[in-house]
Amino acid sequence: MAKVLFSSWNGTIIDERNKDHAARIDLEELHLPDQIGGTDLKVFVGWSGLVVVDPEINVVEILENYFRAVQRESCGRCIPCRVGSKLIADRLARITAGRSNRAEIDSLAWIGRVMKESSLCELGQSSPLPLLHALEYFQDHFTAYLEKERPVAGDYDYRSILTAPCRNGCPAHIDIPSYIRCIKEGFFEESLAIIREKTPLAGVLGRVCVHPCEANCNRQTVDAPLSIRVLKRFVADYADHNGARVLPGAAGAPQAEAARVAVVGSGPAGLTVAYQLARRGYKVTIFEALPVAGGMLAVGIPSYRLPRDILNGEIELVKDLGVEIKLNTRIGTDLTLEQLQREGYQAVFIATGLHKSGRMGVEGEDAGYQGFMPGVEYLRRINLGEPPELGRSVAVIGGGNVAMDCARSSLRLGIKDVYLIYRRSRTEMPANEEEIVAAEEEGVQFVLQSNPTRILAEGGRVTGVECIRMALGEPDSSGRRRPVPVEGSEFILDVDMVVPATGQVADFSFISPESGIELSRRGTIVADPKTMATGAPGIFAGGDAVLGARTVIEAIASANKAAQAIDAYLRTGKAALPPEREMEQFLEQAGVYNPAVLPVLVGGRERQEEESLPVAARLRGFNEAELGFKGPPEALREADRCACCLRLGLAVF
Amino acid sequence: MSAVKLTIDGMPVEVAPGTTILEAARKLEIDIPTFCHDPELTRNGACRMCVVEVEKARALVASCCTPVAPDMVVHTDSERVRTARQTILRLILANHPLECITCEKTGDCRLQDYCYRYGVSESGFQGETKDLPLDDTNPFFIRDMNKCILCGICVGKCQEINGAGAIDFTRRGFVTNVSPPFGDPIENSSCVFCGMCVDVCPVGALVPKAGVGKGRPWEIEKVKTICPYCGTGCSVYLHVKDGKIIGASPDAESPVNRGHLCAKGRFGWDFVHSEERLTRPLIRRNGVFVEAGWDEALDLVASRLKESIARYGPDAFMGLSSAKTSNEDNYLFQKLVRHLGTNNVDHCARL
Ligand SMILES: Cc1cc2nc3c(=O)[nH]c(=O)nc-3n(C[C@H](O)[C@H](O)[C@H](O)COP(=O)(O)OP(=O)(O)OC[C@H]3O[C@@H](n4cnc5c(N)ncnc54)[C@H](O)[C@@H]3O)c2cc1C
Ligand code: SF4
Ligand code: SF4
Ligand code: SF4
Ligand code: FES
Repeated sequence: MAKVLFSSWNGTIIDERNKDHAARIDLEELHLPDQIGGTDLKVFVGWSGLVVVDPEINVVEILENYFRAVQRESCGRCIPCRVGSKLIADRLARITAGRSNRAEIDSLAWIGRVMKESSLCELGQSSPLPLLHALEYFQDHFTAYLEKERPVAGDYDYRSILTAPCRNGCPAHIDIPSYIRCIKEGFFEESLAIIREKTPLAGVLGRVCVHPCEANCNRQTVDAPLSIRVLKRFVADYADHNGARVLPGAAGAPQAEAARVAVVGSGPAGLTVAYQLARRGYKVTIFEALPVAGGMLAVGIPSYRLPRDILNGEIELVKDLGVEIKLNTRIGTDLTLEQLQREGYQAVFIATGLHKSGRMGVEGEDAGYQGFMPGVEYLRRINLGEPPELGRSVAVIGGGNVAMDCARSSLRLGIKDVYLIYRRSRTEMPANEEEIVAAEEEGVQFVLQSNPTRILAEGGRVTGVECIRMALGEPDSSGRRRPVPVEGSEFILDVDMVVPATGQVADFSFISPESGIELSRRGTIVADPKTMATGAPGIFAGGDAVLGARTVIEAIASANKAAQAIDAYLRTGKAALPPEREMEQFLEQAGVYNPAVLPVLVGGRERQEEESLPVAARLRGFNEAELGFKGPPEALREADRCACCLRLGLAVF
Repeated sequence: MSAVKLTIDGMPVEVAPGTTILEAARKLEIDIPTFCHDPELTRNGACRMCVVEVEKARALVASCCTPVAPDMVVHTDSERVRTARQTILRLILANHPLECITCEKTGDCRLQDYCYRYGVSESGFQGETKDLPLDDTNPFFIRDMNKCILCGICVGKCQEINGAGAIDFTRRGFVTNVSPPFGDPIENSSCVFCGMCVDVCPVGALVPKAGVGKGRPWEIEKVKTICPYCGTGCSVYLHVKDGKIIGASPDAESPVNRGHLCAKGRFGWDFVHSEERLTRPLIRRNGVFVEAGWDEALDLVASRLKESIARYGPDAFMGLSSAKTSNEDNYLFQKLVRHLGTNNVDHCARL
């Protein structure tokens, strides 16, 4: 177990140098991983201080490396960071070369302080911190260089990473500060190209992403987080309006003999893998069971949230890179996995999502009544233009986003009475707050703290649903209070349709036990979380099929990992991670956003909200409900709220 | 929206929401030093000279790009602020050539002014200096990027106001520079030589070529006039020393051009003192121009005009004057031409 010798991380000084090894605190307590790519961490230097694990290290040498990295990343606009970090780096180099003096060492603190006090962005404001801490607690390391026998350089590996709270909070680590800065400076297409480094689906994410980045945005500590999602939508729409086809440059040198890769499923995970591999020069074919591409983006999420021309435009980008999409081709029936491998696909990526519904365990759900239809099927049929025979009232069961989509779509199809039955209270609904509010505004009637017990039918047709009231009991493992039925409180809701939206499951009938692909007890594919490699050589998997019912951005994140690992696998035969991914993973564990550290911001600048269609107009059909920013002025005003919280970390191992 | 009340250096002030601390301070006539601020441009907050202390904020904030908030308490000249400004100046001086003795900008240089104000005479941080080539291939201005402090105002003016987009920041870190694409001379870029960048450069990185060595700012009298080149009528200050024009700059207050000029108004003054200028009438005799007296020349013109009009009618001639003469002269000129019976009268700025 790695022990901490000294730490000034997150503002707390922990000095264990005079303690016995056993008595020192564990690195784990600081939430820092103790290894990088399989090697033990010696020191971590970063925006929040200095963490020393190895007693042999020399801090000055490490800081010299750190400040050289700061110089590489400094955008060069503000004087304190541009000149200050250069002066510090040069001085540290002179110190380690034995060409410095006391006065120069003393001047470091002064330069560091002015950088910290007055730099333009957090890169300059935060990077002097480890230096200032070192000058205070490791002064002897500096003076050692003034002696005759100065310390000799250690043989360390260094790895640096530039991040930001929002960027670390984004599962795919989209470079948010950079794309916002491009917007600030009016470079909208360049901004979009930055997003498209990670995925072609910028316009999609700009509409439906659940934006975990915003929950990590520093600005919320002073007023409200940046509207990162709508800014993304803005640049995607802007390019669209101008007919600009924006793609980043090619990624890496293509292989001489481009390998062929098969992707099963054309959802966000499949599309992203295909896109990334095509950018690297591979020949990719996507096999899709349905007559349309896009996965849940096409047959799950309703078009009033994601207009299909937006989705299709971004699918076209993927095709333009040479990716072939074979529709109406189900792996398992039309072709088998083994056939794919035999036909010369050197790697396969499985991203088949969750397209079947779980059971509720309610009497009558398996009876095949007309008017009973699981949520994913209901939405799929609406989206494919084959809606089921509709009634005059519907009960949707569940409190998640899928339930909201079913309920709001029902209203748009003209169903008068739309009920939504949920076990717990409104505050516990897992759906996004925006979705819940929109459902309420549009007239969905919530039946809360109730659970269905029986589907009622006459002559094979649904006539209603019997429910029971639920009381909230003790909190369960998720921290939410567990609903318990109140005996004798049964009541009947008269409806002619019941749509359960309480869970999706996968259909892995195409995976044979001999394939070497392992399935978990949750009914998902088991894959290495770092490389997305399955137990079968050359077969990778990602998206909902591995993660369970998650989100578009998490599907994209897993696809990016897989693309890198597949590339490595096809080049070297081994699914390895590139070094920058290792640092990203390090920070995923360490965390970057810290609400306790206030940014150098003065609050009071209003968050710009997107326009939305009035309720009456929304209910007239499947017109897009949210409309993005009114125009460039709003986008610029929003981008201008970004404090550019860049943070540099350096791991020594 | 209602006004925001705040306190700056102990004085209460009320301003509209969205006003910056800098603007609010200027309302109180507090002079906060700035390099990179220009009211016309997108705020970039690069130089950090304008930092002030806002109570409860974690660090100093740049007043030029921080909007006021209700009940904010601001100190613009505290010890902490002065120290930060001093250190920033010293960081600038760490790689700024101290060539003030021969620098064209001496006397009108904000870097000098602020160093004087904050008592900074040298950097104290000797560091690496820049060694960039001088760009003086064009006839209008010299770019010495070793003196540039990277305030970015020239970039902003060129992109946002002129729209030429000839220059931008290049590279990162210490070696950041402002330059035309690929480090080419400005002559080979999309520059239209409006000189806007030259007017706003706070230091001696951009200087007009024509004035080099001709006079110090304090020796110059700035004479306000209207640019004679075209009908727009931009206000311009002629820089006059010993009765000679050695430069020009736009009038920032003029409602017509609000501090902007084109290449002609900004740099096209050499004709005034040109050796080749005609100062006496010339009459062509046997194919060559020969100097003559005014009476002789005017008599000749009058008699020829009379002859022509008598023979061919008044529409056979036209009068062409110059935009560079005064309004009154042009008025009289057209009166004369019309009196002679024709409306054929025009002017040209190039005459
Ligand atoms: C109604 C609904 C609303 C949602 N709303 C949001 C939201 O607002 N924001 C958000 O972030 N997430 C949302 N999600 C979740 C999100 O859509 C998924 O997490 C994401 O689409 C998963 O991507 P994927 O690529 O793993 O799989 P999917 O998008 O499910 O795509 C899988 C594809 O594989 C195909 N396929 C399956 N089996 C085979 C086979 N054997 N052969 C060939 N093809 C096959 C399927 O037809 C499908 O096209 C929503 C989900 C639903 C159902
Ligand atoms: S203010 Fe900008 S850089 Fe900072 S966390 Fe928010 S979006 Fe990211
Ligand atoms: S002279 Fe005008 S066009 Fe040329 S660089 Fe300067 S601002 Fe741009
Ligand atoms: S040349 Fe002058 S105006 Fe342009 S960035 Fe440098 S100092 Fe500023
Ligand atoms: S004037 Fe405010 S940062 Fe330059």
